[in-house]
Amino acid sequence: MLALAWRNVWRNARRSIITMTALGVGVAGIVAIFSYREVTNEVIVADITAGLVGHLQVHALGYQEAPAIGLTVDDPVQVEAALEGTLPGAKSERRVIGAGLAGSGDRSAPVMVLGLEPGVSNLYTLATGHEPVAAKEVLAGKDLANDLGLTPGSELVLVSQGKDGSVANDRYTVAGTFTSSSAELDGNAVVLPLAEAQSFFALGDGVHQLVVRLPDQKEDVTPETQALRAALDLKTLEALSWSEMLPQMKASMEQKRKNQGLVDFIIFVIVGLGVFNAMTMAVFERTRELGVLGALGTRPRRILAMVLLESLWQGVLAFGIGVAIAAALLYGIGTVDLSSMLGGDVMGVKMPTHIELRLLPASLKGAAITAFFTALAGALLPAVRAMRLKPVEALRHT
Amino acid sequence: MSTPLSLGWRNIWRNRRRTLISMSAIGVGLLLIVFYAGLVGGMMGNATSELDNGGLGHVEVFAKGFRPKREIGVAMPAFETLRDKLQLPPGAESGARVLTRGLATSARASEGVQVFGVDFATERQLSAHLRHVTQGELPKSGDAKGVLVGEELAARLNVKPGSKLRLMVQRADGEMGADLFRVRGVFHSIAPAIGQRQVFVTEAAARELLGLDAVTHQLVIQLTDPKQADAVAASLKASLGDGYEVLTWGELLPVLKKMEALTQNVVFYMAVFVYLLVGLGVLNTMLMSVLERTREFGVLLALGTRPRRVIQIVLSESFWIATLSVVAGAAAGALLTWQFSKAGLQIPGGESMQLSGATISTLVKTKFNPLDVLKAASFVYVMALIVGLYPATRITRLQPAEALRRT
Repeated sequence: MLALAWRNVWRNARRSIITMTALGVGVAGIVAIFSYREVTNEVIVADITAGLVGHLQVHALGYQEAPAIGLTVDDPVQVEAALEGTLPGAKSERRVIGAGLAGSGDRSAPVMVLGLEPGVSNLYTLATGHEPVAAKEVLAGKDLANDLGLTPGSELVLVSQGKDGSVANDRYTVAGTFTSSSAELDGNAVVLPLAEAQSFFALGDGVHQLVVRLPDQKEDVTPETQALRAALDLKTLEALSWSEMLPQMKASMEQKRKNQGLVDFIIFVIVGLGVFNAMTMAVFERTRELGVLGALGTRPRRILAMVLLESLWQGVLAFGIGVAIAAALLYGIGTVDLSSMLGGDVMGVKMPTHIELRLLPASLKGAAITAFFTALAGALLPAVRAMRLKPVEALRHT
Repeated sequence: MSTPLSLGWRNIWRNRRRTLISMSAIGVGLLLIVFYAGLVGGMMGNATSELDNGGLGHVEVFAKGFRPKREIGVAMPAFETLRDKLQLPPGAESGARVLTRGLATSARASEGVQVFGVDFATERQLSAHLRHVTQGELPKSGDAKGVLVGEELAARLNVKPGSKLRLMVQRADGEMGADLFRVRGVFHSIAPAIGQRQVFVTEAAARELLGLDAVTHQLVIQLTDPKQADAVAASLKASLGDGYEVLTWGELLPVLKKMEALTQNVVFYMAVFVYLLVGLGVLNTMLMSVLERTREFGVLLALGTRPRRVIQIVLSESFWIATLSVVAGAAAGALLTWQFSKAGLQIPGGESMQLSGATISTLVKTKFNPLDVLKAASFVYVMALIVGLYPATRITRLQPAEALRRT
């Protein structure tokens, strides 16, 4: 039966090849779009989780909703111990974040005052100067430094409000400037060593964020978040995944995934119409032959199956053609340089500039399903018609 | 004697169902492309015509030297004295702002903010979010201590109308200056970044806070047609003279220009992809319809019909199929585009997208662009020509004697 259908495919080789090419191009489109999207998502997630946000964060309860300088995790050691116990291999980083006003000479700007653990954080790369070593030394973001006219050695005044409500005010020396993967940091951040920031805001040992990075790169960190929550005192603390902290980014990724369904459906309809026409022709040409089969006692169900299988064979071959086209396309293009098209940040997340394309095996499932149903649905009506042929009439057909 | 066109017309109806299926494939493809182009065009059109969603102008004017470091000392004369020099097209709105950045502090927390000193009556026309006050009201003119904040900032600082808010800024003389304000109202912006960062006070209050005379930092002009921006900017440059920096939205937001080009490409590639799929399907059908008539063409050739005329007939068949599907597809696409051009189509994922400073509403009012339809339709004809040509050339190679022998 399979062999019979296979031979039927090649009885009108040209028509079959054209049909299969159409379906193959459709499959290639599905695979290429899926792979491009998911590879881009991977890069974005990798940037987010390696950068400011991390995979997970632990805060004082309510901090994410409305951050305030007074909402601190007062015993970070305990949280780190809980983390060690539940998520072995995960790394955590303590951070202090507050808003302040930075002034230098007659210029000033509102800034993000960021206290980072020296030697632990990889948020930034030094552009000029050196890491803070002496007391009261700070780093400034490259664009902020430019705005305020700061160079290594400049004096910088920071003004803000301490945890106790008092005015926090101190004079610092700029040790260096930095660049990062975030436009927000480059333009707004002043980086202090953690202890320096804690004393500026009068926080004691308290920190605002414990940023957790998991050993494996992944997008869905729900199980890890839940495991960590189970180990924390949720009356005073909160643990959030990156997708809970950046719901818009997550939603836009999910939306693009849903759009794939639309692409699949469009391909299904357009290619399906082509398959339908081709299979109708195939059945029509063979009316007499099908009449002979019927007259010889072949069961109608067998005829139905034969026609469907012929189309499905084409679906299988088209799938192979499509994957080959998609692979050629993706690896042929290689690296996409997005910076020339649309650099900058989307929803506060800096977009990746270079994306190395590759074919994702996960994309094959949707493509295979679409190819299968297109071949099946396109052949269904012709196959039913073939099944219903009356042998006597069919034989009379020229 | 029938013309090839009328013969072609009759031929396509000889197998009605097959023709209708081919036409629906082409028509659906065209519908998709027309609608998609309308969606993308609408999105870009909204982004540039509704710059006020982000409080940006189609043309903005600054004192030369203000922008790079936002030095509050580098200022322009007050709006009243500049107004006479502005010759704007009808429907344009203009206004001025005193700008600075500072720290807003409530009893609960501190946040870095952009402070806008404005005339609220004119600013309402310039910033969409000032038309969406959700609590309280806009500060009255002459209100020296009133401030309007965004919802996001109000939540973070835990303030509501009536609450105290301290604004700390660096004064023009270099000293730190602070003043106590009262929240009069809370606005809603479709861009969370604006709701979290922007606060509005009266012009007089901002000048008082900064220790400035009657000056202003930014002139904002909203146009009814973004395409006028270049002309308006050129006339402003001429009338204002040196000492001013006049910028159009294209210069302020290069990302919008880039996006326009990018989306054009996306529509083009989508059209190529769709018509590759459609074309292969239709090619099969045309090929079949020619091959099943081999005998008939053999008869025509044997009777002395020139091969050219036979080709003309086949091409006219694909011409008719293309024309009918273009009319149907374009009409359906235009109808669908028109349907969403009034109420708009809500794209999921928040109220807006932020792209490098530009705020783009996700409620897209689709825009029907006849040029897009023409482009897409020309795609169909090119495809129909290619698809018709292959079967047609097969016929010319036919020997009448052989063709007649085929069953």
